[in-house]
Amino acid sequence: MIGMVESNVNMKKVRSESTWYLTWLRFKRNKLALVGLGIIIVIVLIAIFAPVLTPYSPDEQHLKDRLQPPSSKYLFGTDEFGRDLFSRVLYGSRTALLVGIVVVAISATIGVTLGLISGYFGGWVDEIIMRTVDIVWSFPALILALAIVVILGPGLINAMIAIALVGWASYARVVRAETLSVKEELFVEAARSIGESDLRILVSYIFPNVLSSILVLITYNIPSAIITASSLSFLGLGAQPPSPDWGLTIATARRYLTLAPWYSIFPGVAIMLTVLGFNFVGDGLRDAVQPERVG
Amino acid sequence: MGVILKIEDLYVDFKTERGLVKAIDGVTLEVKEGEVLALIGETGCGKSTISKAIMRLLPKNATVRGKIIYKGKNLLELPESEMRKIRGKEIGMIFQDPLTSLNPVFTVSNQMEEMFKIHKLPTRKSIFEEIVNLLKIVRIPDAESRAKSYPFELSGGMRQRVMVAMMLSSNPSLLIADEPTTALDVTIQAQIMNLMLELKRNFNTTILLITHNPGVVAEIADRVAVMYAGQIVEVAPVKEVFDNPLHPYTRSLMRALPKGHKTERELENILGRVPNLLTPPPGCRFHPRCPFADERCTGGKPEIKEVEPGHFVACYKVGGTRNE
Amino acid sequence: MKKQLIIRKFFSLLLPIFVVSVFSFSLLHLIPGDPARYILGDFATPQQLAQLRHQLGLDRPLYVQYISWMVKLAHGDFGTSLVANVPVSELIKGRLSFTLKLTGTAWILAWIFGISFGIISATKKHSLIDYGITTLAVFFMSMPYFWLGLMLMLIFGVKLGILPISGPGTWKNLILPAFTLGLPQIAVIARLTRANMLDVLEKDYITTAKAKGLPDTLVIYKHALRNAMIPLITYMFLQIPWLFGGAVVTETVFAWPGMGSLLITAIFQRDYPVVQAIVLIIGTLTVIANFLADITYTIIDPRIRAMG
Repeated sequence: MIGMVESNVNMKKVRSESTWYLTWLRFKRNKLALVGLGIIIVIVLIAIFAPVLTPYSPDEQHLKDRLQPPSSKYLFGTDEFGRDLFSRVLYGSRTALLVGIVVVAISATIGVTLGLISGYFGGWVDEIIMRTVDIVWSFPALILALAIVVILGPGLINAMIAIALVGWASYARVVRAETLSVKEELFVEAARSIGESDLRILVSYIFPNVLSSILVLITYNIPSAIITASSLSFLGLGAQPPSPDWGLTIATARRYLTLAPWYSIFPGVAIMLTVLGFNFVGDGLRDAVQPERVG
Repeated sequence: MGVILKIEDLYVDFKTERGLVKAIDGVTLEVKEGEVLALIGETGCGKSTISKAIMRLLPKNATVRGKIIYKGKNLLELPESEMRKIRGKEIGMIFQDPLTSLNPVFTVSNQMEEMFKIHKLPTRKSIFEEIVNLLKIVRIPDAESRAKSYPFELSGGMRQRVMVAMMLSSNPSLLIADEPTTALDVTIQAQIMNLMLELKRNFNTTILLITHNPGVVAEIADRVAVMYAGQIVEVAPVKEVFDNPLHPYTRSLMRALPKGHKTERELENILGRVPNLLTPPPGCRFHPRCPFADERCTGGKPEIKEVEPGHFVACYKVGGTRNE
Repeated sequence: MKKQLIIRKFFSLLLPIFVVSVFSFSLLHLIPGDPARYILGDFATPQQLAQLRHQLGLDRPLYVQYISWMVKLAHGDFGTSLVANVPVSELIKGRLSFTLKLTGTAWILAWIFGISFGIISATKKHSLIDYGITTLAVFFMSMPYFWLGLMLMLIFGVKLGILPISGPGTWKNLILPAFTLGLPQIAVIARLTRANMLDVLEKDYITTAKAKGLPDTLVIYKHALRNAMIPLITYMFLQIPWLFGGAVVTETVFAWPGMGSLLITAIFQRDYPVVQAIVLIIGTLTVIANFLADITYTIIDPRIRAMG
């Protein structure tokens, strides 16, 4: 009997590795997903190598060249201080990716933990967590983030915390639902019968099996965090000057919309491409993880 | 008896991600007026594809060649608007799973009413009364309140009766029943089969019955066409097929049946694997599983020949021995 | 049976509304340090501070403050604006109609265009027009409202000069903000409609409908659409609070004098009673939208309706 249980547990682990490989094979077939992956890789490289790639420092002012249209000297033109927009947009990718990473790290940690607890233990704990999730999930993210920024005060760090405190709900929802089904499976049953603790079952048996869904959520969570953060910055409650943050740049650029339209266009295109890249990868990953939904 | 439907040299291919599936490979078949013709074969042999091809309801990735002649008209060449007058009005169709073939969000009468409106069927009374009357004909108790029910409020058997009633409303000349009892309990199966027999007698409807259940065939069919991997291998009167099967495939089918009593035993997997239709075996598609196969069988496709009056077989061995 | 269910669901409304009210109430109290000093700044005199504390009721125990706040709310009293010195309810009343006009128009645009494009896309699957619609949809879903608004402004206001770019005024002033708010929603709804339609068009009952000889219009608009819409009904309501969220940015971009731009002004002016009131209103709206989504879902689907 013990032998059987062991082999069962091992079987599951082996299958899980080949599942990842199959997921990758399915993902590779999706052209848009590969385009998305390409966009993300380029943006990450830009963020890392920004100092090498930019012709000027993002804060360097060329007071004689204010609000210049795009030219060979200033690829994306200049702003009202004569700063090179190409350099600023490239540096802006750092803020965007930072927002994505920090928000996901916090949201996913909170959401996954609560989701696992909710789904595994059930009962009144589950009830309380899920009712809270319902409210947080359906509340407009920007307004909830605004309310939290009101408490914490403006600034990029506080904006990221606020967005993370809004974004955890979808993780909790999905992880709970998956936990409910995974915990009924034989290999969890088996682990319980050989006396594994709840914590160990959650961490080493259930968590690996909900990981793929979490990964899909993360790829969707990053772009929505970037959009919310840029909106907060646009409203003046996120990143503060002189940050090259894209949302903040557009907030200033708005005043020169007639005079210098390129000033608003380029940072916006940067936001859109970043979000698009993650959305493509998210769609591809979702279809690859749940192949039965492709149609 | 005249021929109501004639399928001539029909080919159906499906374009899929993995390649071209040659689902129907040169099928020729006649359905005579007033008869019950059973088309029997394993799951995946293409029998449902034929029924959908007749109705022109195949998905877009299918290409169809050949002729399907219904009352002198080639259905494959009709404009869509003419074809719509044939569907439901001239040729009715009943599907395998009554649980999913009725629309869940509309009442029974709402869905039956459409037949009257679209095909402008003559009514003696109100449409609703006609519907109730039809439901009574298919023996649905408490027909009036059932008419106002939603499909989910009815059992599987009841829903299949509703389907039969719906397809009967236009009094079609041909009824295609695609595995109408497969999804039902054994007792309900018998009831639905009896119902269809009764309807055939009373309304003189021609029935093309598609099934993988030899028990059902024995009970109601006049003639039987046996299908294997997209080809018709044998066509004969029902008694002939059971008592004197000639094609090796039909023979192994019949051998798999327990003798002496009617059976519910299904054909699945009794002979090992059905061939992959992406790369079907050349020649006779049955040859890899056939105990009598020789090099002739792997060469060209055997023609279907009348070896005894009314008994057609597509096999080099059978036709050959008699002609030699 | 059905009535009982609705009543039971109605009571399940009360808990979330309580949570929302506590959250809005605590906005003022969760600020680190003394809220009065935070609002008035470092140069306020002790008298000014004491007066503000009294006005906000900060000198009483928390639960007393909460209860008296709720009692006042029940009488339609949202407190007094610290900046404009008029009742918050009046400030909001003046702004609410603008926000409703904006979100309402966007909502209607979203559903009319979203469903139409979704159906076209699904019925012409893998055609050029399908690729066009799905590609555009992904792009619109990837733009933040504020940038989309600016780009529409740039194209239709500045370059083409055919539409006014900011402020209230005639119905023409509503067009750009409404499309700014509506376009991403059109995209979402078109995608959802397409996916659901494709799902439904594969169902057996669609084959039945075709086998009955029904024309395509009846098959698609009656048999398929009704079923494809069921999962979308919830979104019709869930989307409303999200539109209010988008309105905050859109109103700011177009200087549209609605509740959203009032909220932003109030945040910058540290006008807490106004911020609290708007968060409370949108929170309550969210809870109600959730409730309505739930109820309508039960009403529209006969299968769930019967379970009661």
